[in-house]
Amino acid sequence: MENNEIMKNEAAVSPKPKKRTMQDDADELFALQMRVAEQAKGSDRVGMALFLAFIFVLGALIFIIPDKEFSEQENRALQQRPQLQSTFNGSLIERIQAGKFLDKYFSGDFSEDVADYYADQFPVRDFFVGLKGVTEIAMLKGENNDVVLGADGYLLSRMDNPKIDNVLKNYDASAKFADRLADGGISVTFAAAGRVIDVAEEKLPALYPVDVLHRPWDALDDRAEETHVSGTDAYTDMLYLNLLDPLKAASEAGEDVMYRTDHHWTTHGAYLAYVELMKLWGMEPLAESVFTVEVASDAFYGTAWRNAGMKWIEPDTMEFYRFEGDEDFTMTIHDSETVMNGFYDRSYLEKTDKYSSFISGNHAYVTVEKNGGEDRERLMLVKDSFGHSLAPFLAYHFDLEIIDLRYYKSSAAALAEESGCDRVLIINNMDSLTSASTLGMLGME
Amino acid sequence: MLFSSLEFLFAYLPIVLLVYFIAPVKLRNLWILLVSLFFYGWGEPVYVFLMIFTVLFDYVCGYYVGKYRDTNHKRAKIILIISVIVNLGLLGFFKYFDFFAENLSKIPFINIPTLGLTLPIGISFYTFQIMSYVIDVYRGDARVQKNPIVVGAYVSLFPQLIAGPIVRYQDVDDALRERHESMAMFASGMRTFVAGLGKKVIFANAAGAIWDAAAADPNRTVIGAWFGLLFYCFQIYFDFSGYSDMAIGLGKMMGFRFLENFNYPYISQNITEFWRRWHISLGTWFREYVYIPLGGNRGGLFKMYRNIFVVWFLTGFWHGADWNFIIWGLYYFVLLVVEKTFLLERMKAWPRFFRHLYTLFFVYFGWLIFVFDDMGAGASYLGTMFGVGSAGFISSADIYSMLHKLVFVAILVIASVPKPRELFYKFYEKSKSFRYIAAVGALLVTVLVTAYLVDSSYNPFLYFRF
Repeated sequence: MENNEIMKNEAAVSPKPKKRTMQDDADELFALQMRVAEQAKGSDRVGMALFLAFIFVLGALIFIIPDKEFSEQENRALQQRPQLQSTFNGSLIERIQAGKFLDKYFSGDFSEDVADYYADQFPVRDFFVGLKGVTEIAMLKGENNDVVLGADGYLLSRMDNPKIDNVLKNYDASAKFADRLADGGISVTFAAAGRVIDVAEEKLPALYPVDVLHRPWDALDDRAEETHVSGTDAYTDMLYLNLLDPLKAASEAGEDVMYRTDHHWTTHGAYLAYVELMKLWGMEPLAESVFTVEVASDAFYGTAWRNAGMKWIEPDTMEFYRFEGDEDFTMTIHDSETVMNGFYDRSYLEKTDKYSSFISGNHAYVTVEKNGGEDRERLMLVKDSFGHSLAPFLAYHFDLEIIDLRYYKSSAAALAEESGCDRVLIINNMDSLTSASTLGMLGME
Repeated sequence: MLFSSLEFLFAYLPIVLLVYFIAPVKLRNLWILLVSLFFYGWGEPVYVFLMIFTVLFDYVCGYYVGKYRDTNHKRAKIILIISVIVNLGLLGFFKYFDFFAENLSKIPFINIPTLGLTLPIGISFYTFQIMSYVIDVYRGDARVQKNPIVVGAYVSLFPQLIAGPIVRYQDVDDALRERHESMAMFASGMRTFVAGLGKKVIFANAAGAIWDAAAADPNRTVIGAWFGLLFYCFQIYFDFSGYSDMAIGLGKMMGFRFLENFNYPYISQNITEFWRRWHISLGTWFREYVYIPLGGNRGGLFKMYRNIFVVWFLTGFWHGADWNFIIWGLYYFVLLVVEKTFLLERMKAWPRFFRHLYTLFFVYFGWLIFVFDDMGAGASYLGTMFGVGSAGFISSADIYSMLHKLVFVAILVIASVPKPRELFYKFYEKSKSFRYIAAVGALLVTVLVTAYLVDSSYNPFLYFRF
């Protein structure tokens, strides 16, 4: 009642012709929709049938297809069919008394599990992941899921906002470690390897902001230079090797030093790194012609490929550089007390994670020794996974103590001294150096 | 549960639709109530009881308001007031308690502990909705609903439960009693739903990711800041209007007609028009249930401005329990009053382009106030937009990023104007083959949305970093 009066009143205040309102727009749209719908019975049937068939069929398939337990591609366990309540032995009354009646529903776990379940067990998942990749590229975004589509089928994982802080912390911790070991006559080398996006920079699309990529390298090179001015407090006699520049030069010359679909260097790339290290140490590296190249796999789909959703990209070829007698080595994985002959764990070649065939992947502590008890120089390799494909080359010259500080939680210094190492090589790729200050662990006594 | 989730699209929706259309007409409201409560309890099961309480309470209030409306007006009014107090009290308690506790505790000798309650989903929307039922009955704009199941279905109606549109009871009164589902409604609803789904998943989510990156970038440049905020403008529009479209479409599939909630707001020629096109159901609600009851523009200039102030203060505060939302509301109060007093008249002489630019400029900065509930962070973002604390004017990363987002931005701009929809219906009416193409097109969009949803869950846990 009152409202009507006010409205009348408002109308009286503004005697303009009635304006077109949003309501009119909405009414018109609705009338239009209904009008066209009347003429469109045939196509409506088709449209409805397609839509409903899609959601019903896929919806039913999720229930019909048996659940997968493990994703080989993603290297993780998958969510299984969710439960509304926890398992409980007893009657319904006892269940209620124990607070186990629909407990997972009320705690909200059920709905989270359902979301994970649909994500993990969705039918023809690979097709959908690929479709999204194609769509993103078609919109000329040039990348998908932070993987840039480069020239010549290169997939380059983006590395934005590098934490320079971590690089410097890692370097400084290593230098401190080097000075501590210098007393015992052990020489330490710090080597930094480039990521694919660093090394294969020329494969990036035009105008890609490479200055962001250079930042951590400039910071690291500067720090190394500062700490090699004798007489200053920061001085260290730790050897520093920038492995980016030589590999980048090789890449620019057209050599395949990095995988196109993965984030690691190829075996050829690792060989070049080995040559640089030997030169630094004043030793003679083996010529590349000495090795027999074995094609370990011609269907290596790396990490970048699996993220990119660009299914048309061809896989990489993975090689082993074999030399005579390379099976007369004993590799001991101390984590699992496994002993193997040679450096290659071929079981991984059957799996997605093929790169782990080099020294059997990530472990806390591995030793490699040449059979026959020959007394050789001993080298401690403190590494991330870039060290895996480098290890066979080093093993030709040294017995190896290999540790990975992401998993090895004891004193590296003690291990170096007790095992009688003559030399330490700390080698990481720039992604490891920027993302965490893992090498801080070197300070452990 | 979100509409834009795999479990909604491939489990909830098929089951709801299947049973709905198999069930006898009499049981359909009950089915809607049951599945809506299930939908509501998905994230926070405990709050289902809050919802049930609200429904029963307002059912009883509505019943007695209706009973006494004509016989004992005073009693009806008292019941109405109790109902309003209880509804706003619940909203106030769950949504605003901590805000008041925190701010009052800044006064010496006052110390109120905060509770840290999770906000019941959609409480801001459904509280307004249920209030409209009792008020409409009181005003005689709607009939009393004697069946509590129908009141429950109205309040908890899953399509618009979480993010609106805020449906006034009088608009769906008839449909709740008797509605005519038809293939035409279903097909049209399906198309609206799919369009909304695409807006949300393909446009809003991607735009949101770009905005998030800009907001978190420690090396933000001037251009980077301006470009980044643009994507928030797109995100909030496509997110919100996409969600409204999904709700409208779902409602239509089941025979309801909800009013449009967005009408291409970014084409507006002035701020007043913007607010007639943006979140229409909220504006309507405030006009019907706050502005006009306060007296509207009747009773002199002072009262009118006071009423406009109240509406915009509340509009801001409704969007969130933080100062920035209040400021955002008052920002629009100032703009609207300036327009009302003189600017609208003067602007008539401006070229269209300038009017449009003026509108977008203020809307753009409005979103800057809106998006940062930490106002320090908002101020520092604003700073970088004008070179204070920015990492230079433009960087190589900006150029690369803008270049690769050109097509995406173009698509977003085109999707923000009415022309595509006009053309769609023009061809749709004229050409039979186009109608079949559109039928397949709806499927393709659904498939594409599925691809985006499946991929967003694709987070390999690997040795990736090493």
